[in-house]
Amino acid sequence: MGETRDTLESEFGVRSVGTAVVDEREIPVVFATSEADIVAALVLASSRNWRVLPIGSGTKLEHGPPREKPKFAISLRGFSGVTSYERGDGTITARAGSTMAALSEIARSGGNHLTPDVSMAKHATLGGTIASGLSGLDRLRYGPVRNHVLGVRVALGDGTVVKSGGRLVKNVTGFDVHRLVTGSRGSLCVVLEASLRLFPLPVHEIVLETAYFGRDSALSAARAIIASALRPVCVAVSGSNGTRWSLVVGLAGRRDVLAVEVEHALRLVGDATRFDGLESRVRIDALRVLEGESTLSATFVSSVLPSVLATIDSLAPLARIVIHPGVTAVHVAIDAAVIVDVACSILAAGASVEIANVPVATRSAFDPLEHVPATARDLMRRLKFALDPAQRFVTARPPEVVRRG
Amino acid sequence: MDARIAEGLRALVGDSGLVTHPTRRATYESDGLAHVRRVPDLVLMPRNTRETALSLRFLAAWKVPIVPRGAGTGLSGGATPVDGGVLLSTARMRDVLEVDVENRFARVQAGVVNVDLTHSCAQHGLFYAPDPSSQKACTIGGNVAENSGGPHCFKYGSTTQHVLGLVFVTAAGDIVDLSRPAVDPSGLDLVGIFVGSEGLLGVATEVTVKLVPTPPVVETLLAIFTSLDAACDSVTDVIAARLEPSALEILDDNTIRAIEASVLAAGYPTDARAVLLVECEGTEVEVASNLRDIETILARHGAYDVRRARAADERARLWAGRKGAYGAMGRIAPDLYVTDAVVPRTRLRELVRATTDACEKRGLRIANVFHAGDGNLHPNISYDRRDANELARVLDAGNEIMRLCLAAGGSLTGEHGVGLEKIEGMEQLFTHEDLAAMCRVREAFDPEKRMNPGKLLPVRACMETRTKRVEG
Repeated sequence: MGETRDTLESEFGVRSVGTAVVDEREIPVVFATSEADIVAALVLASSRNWRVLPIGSGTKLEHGPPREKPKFAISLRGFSGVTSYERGDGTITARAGSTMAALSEIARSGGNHLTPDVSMAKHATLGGTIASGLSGLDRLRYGPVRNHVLGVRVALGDGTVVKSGGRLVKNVTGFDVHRLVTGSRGSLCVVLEASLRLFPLPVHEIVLETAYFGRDSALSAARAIIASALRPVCVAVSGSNGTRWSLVVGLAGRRDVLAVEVEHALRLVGDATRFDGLESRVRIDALRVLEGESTLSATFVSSVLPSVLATIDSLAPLARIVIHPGVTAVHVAIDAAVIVDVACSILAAGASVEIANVPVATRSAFDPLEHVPATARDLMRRLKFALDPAQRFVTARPPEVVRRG
Repeated sequence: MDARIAEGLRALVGDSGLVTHPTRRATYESDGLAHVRRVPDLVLMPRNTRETALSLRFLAAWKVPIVPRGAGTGLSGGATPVDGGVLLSTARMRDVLEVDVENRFARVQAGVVNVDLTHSCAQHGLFYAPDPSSQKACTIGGNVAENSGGPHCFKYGSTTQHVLGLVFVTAAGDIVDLSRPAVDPSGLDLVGIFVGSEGLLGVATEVTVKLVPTPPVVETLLAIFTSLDAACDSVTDVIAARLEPSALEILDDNTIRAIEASVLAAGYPTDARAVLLVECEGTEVEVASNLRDIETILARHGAYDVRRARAADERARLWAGRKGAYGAMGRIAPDLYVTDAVVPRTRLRELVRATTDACEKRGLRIANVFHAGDGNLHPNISYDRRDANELARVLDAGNEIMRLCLAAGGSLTGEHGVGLEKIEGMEQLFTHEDLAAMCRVREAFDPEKRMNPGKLLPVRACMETRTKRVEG
């Protein structure tokens, strides 16, 4: 690490080089503040044949499989700012280090809503959000993040800058390379800038919260909301076995419409506590309390939910669960000792699964691509080689199959 | 083409799966981009994924170009076999394999016609949202290749937002089965990169699509204007006001007259300069609230009459007129050049006017019918391809329209694809490095570049530029 750090400090200055902990190992990190910095770091890496990990603020470094060890990381947190906000057209383009909270605030000031509504938005960067491919709590109404990335500018491993897509809400020109980049976890390129589609900002937001003695009752009420004509932003059931379960329904829209929708929702869920204004935000944010704990996140088609819950009940009966029955997704705070067994069972049921904030050894034992067909895995390998022929960017380590004896 | 190729294919797909007769092959010489034609050497019509894979594996040994084709309704020449070879039609893959009501998805063969899919799930209160104007003929596989749109994509998004899974076959004959509906991709988003790849990455044989619930209330307005500018400004203001209709479609006077003179007459007023079709969906109160504000904006921009469809059949007639507009234009001239470009929605008026001027100054007959809500323009030029001079003027106007839209921050295509038509424009919009990256993506799927050669990417091989920059 010493020699690498010395080289980086010599190239970028002592104050631009720090330390990041990636998969329980310390590596040097270059804090880039310009596109020139990022390209220079990649050119340097190419000249030394060093492997690199692009990061934002580092909020998701403990998510997913551990990576092969990079020689250094490039943080884009200091490479921020909006390059274009088209209020009337409903699009925003910003540098990758911009935080989601900052972008959301700018969009809000112009009467637009920025999706995804991610956790830790004050720290999570635009580039990191796209690279992780994770959607937000508002997914039920607005859809997954990959649907709203209109285009990207990225730096390839040799420092070449390329773009895909554009800044328009509708555009089918060329291959959607930005779809490949979204969710690629920094394994293909460094996201420099991205354009997102915005939505009309709801005039008013209301959250209804209801407590139930059993999970099934809460889920039944949630399903009634989802099957209705309402367009909630979020429907979540949270709790753990042996405690009361909570149903949170987030509604948003024009004031006159919302008044009628709240009445409709109350008929479906029974008595509920109503929150609006800042309080409604607090109730929604409470659904994120799993952040930082050992967590398992999974998405799947709705018919799989019963078997997912049965698995969790069987292997981790005390786990705290947030269920999004409309999406369909679960986020589970779970004992790290059983997380891999639960993850494998859910994966086998047909879900996409990610585990986070558990020791590297635990994450090493889980292969989220286990059930992906061999031809598809082969194509993924070929795409990696196509866009990153020198293997400049680190990828997930091959899984170490140590589970189940 | 070597006779042994036809013999080998016939052994795999049978007599009914292979077209060799020149007259029958000639029907596959082009898609909707009628002025570029070439008859394929063979037309292959496999019945399923297995036959497709076996055929492509066989053809890989002969190094033959493969051109996938759905119904041939495309408008950018994407299904035209410019380099000859085998045209692979999905016409015999027409089965709806599964409709899963609980999970709201359907799994279909690639040759299923778009509207047939919606009909097959209507009894469950579900529908397939992307609705291209050609939806009575175009196929789901073709929609996947082009990432097709349609009027209601303003609310629901283009095809890519509705594809949950795919089975596709690569040029080498490998089957990539991603048919299990995935809420999120595991690993790199192969489905995402495949949708809209215009047949360059493989042939989709099965598609798993999202179904959405039929809205409880639908209202359709027809706003009538004395000026096309005012109709465009209304749309810009509706979007800026952050209202949420599900479709915003403009038809100009030439389009109205063509439709009203046809069997698709929808009751559009023939003395109007433009009409705006507005549709709102949702709960009763939601629709009423949106329409109230939309009507205020329409009135502010001088809509002198706003008619509300009183019943489902009246609404269906209004939409039949809109979706049949291209067909109706057949009354004006034997050929139609349907231009497709997207522009920022804040600049609709300016660019509709500029694109119209570009045609009129060349003495061309233009009719505008377009997805105004998405900024997706379709200046349609009626012409006769037998008139070489007129054809040259049409293509020249098309180039100018493309330049105008790009200069305004627009893009080449919103839903028809690049195909042959816009291939030269790719170098206007993308750098050499951008295109090289796309070329490398292509090579990951098809190292020999035999899938749909000559389309989308203006390179025959990486770093080898094939086309020249459009002058101007």
